[in-house]
Amino acid sequence: MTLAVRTTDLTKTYGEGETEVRALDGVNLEIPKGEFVVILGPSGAGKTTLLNQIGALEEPTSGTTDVDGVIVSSLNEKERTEYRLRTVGFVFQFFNLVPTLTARENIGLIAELIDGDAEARTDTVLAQVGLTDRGDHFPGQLSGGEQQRVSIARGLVKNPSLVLCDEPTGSLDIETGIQILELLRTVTAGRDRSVLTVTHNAIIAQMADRVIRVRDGVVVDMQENRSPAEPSELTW
Amino acid sequence: MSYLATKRARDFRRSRWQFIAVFVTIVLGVIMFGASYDSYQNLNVSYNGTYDRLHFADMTVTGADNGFADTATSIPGVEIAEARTQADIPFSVGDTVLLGRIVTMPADGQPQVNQIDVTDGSYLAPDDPTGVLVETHMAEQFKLAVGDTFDIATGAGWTTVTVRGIAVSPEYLWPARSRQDFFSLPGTFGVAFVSADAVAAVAPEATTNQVVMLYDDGVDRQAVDSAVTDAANSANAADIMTQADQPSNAGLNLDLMGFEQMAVAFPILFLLAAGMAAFILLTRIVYTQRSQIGTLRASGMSRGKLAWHYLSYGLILGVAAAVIGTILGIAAGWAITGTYTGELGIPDTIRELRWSTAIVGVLFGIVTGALAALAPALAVFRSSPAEAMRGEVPTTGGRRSLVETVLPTLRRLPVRWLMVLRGVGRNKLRSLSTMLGVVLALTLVLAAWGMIDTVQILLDRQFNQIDLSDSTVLMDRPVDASEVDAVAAVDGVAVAEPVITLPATAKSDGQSYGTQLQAYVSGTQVRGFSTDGGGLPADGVIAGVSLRDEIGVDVGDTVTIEFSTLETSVTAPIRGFIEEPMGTVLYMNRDALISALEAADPSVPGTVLQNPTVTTVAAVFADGVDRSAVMESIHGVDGVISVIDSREIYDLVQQYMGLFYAFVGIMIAFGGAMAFALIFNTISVNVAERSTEYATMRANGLSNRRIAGLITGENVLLVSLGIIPGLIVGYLAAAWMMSTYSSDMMKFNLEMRPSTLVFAAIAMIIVALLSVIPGIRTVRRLNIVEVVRERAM
Repeated sequence: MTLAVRTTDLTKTYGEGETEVRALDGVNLEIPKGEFVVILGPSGAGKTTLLNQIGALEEPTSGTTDVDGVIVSSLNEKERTEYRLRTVGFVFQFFNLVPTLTARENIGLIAELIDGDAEARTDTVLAQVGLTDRGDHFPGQLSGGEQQRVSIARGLVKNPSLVLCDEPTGSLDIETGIQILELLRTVTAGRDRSVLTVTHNAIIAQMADRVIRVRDGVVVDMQENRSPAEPSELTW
Repeated sequence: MSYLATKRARDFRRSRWQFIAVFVTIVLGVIMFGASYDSYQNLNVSYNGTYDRLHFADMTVTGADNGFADTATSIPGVEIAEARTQADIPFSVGDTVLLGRIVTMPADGQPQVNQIDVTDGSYLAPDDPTGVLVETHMAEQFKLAVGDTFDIATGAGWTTVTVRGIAVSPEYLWPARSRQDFFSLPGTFGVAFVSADAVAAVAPEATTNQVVMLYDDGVDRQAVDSAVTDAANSANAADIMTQADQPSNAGLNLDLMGFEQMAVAFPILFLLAAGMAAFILLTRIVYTQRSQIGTLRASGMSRGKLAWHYLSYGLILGVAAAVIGTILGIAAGWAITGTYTGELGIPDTIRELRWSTAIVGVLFGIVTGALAALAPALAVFRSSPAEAMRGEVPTTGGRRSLVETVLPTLRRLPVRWLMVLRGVGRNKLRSLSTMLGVVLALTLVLAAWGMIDTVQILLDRQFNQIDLSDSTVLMDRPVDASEVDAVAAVDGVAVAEPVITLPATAKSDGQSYGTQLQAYVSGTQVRGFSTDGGGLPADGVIAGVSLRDEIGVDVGDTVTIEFSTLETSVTAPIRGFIEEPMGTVLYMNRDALISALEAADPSVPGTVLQNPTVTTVAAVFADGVDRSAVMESIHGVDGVISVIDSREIYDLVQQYMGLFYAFVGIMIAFGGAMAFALIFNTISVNVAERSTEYATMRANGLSNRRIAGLITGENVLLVSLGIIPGLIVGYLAAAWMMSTYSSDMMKFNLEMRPSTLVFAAIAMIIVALLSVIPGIRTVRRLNIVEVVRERAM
């Protein structure tokens, strides 16, 4: 089994003394390549902190994170930037698109940073997320679901081995949310690409290959789901 | 402290650098107002205090018929008219001979008009006919003290006089010989006040030739001026000079005018910039606090209370800045007044605490702060709780930039360049305010820098293109061809020419203008003329351009030129006008003048014009010679009593520019600070507003350097867009400012070096680059994790 992510005694604390908060407390985790993984937990459990550690958005207090053989926790600022550019793609709850750029340009902004034909790569991911006809629209002219699709395309255009999603359906209605989950499932299927999705919506866990439950900064449970549901079967 | 007040205090602390930028800009604006307005008022009061105390003449008439003093006294509004003698005659002080001026005064007590302050020694005494009072500038130049002696040329030869005292005169606070000789080189001009009886005894040829008048209090000065002018013209006066035209007073008034303009124009620039910066900042604060506003409204807080809360941000800022600015401004005004009166030797330094300055200064600040906060406060007032509670800012509809619409090929540019292009139009009001800040700053900088350029270019023109002589040689004997040849023969002298200079009054249709006439030989090489042929016409007269307005004449008209010292007049057609930086002088061909005077009635023979007080020798030196050695050699020529170095006048004027340079330095620093404050605030708000975008970009692998490039690119583009109108507006403002300084004494048409525009533009770019540094640092410090999880904006 090839691992996509391995964390060893990963600890992250915020604040000092009496105000210290231990967001992650010695997390040990192994996530195989190519899986759709859902990280579940209540608010404040540390699931987003875990995602941020894997995405090199934050430095750990102690412990290590290994992604595709790269020890993320030992990277300097420049290497972390390069890592985020080459290895991971982010999808956020609030899309965070640049309002002055069209859908195509929002994706192109990142595509241009990668070697190769940025335009072709942009068109490809636009087609993957089903927005070929909406590529020249500005975010303000797109629905929430469409904006999230653009956000996903922006994350995928780098062809990352790992896609990190933080509450990707949190701002969407059920129907649109399911469409987004289907999309995430589709764009990752059969590509040796792993998807880590943080959510507090337990229903989404039904479609995961693996479910990790986090509470008080500790992984309390990790289960493999041998028969994941189709996103279309979900409802909440 | 109420909770709202606590919130406000914390908001201030949270955006402290932005508030400080606004605060400093308001303080600078109010300081400029307080300093310039109080300087203007204090100097005005100081000058007028001296004038009132010493009974400075309201009107001076020279060369009128005998008995004009009695005529003048009978004119309604004229309180006192006193006759006196004023004559320009050579003085010999130590080794130096100069063309001095004697002014008579009663020996038994101060005159009623144009009194003097005896700062050392004692006033004239009837029993001391050779005791004189020396005007302070001359005393300083020659280090004359009470008891020293010097010689005055009279018809009987040199008469030795003794310094009885040193005096300050309201007529010579600025030691100008005339409106045409505004900058007199120290050592070439000096004034001595002498007893009228003594003059009658030693120089009977010096007739009473001047009447000085004081007007009644509260009269219509213009009406009295007009009545006196009519009477003086009827009495064949050679020169009629109001108090406003008096050279010293006119020169000092130029300074006052500058302060007066600064007191209005420059503070407005600052306060406008501060208002814009405060508006941007407060709008942003209200924008980000929409959900808080909605919650408070939903909880029962009234619109008015909330609106007042946000209005109070501007008011507190304005009041605090205004109070500090006013105190500092008044202090600066007092310091400037003291420096000025000290530098110029004004005997009275009057510094008053004006409540009007304090009140207007504070009002300036309050109004700026209040107006800036008004729009955001009104937005709060109008917002509905439900809308505000959402706290979500609707995604703005993006669009392609105008330049992409015009040039569609630009759409092929890398996306990050497109971001820069579109960023400019993203928040139009904010972009416009940045551009306006650049325009205001450039206006301030160019208005100040334009003065330097103008004065330097005009001085260069005056001393390198107009006055081509290296020295002026004064002789103690009639200057004929042999004297000129003797100077020309000196080793190192390339050209020597006789130059005639005569006091003259140009008259036409009942209007007159007192000036001087200079006559040069055909093809003169000591003077350049900006005429079509580059020289003087064979006949007729050319004149400084101000004569056109002074006496209402034009090319082709005939003017009468009266020579009071020759007691005759000639008529001559005007062949053209020339624009010269200094003075409004009449010019004639020397031969034409001699012919005209010989043909005049009464006739003046050409030999009279060889008098050394009329004809001097102007010399141009050969290239590369040792100037002082050549002047020393000229000094050795038989009959030479003085050699005036033209360069020294140039250097003197440059020396006077010292204060100007300091002023421009301050203006440029202030302009830079203003631009920095506004651009810094705009960028801070932009960065705050886009922090989610920047954080997302960083999360997606964009380096800090690339994001810094985006921020810098957008703001440099914005500033560049502001530079073009800024240069135009700045140039026009500078032209307007300089035009207000122009008079017949000095022509200040704006001259601006292209390099000034380039440097000003570069300075703005540098300010822009400096201004983005805090924004870039903010982006570097962005907590990506926190920001990307926040709802955008």
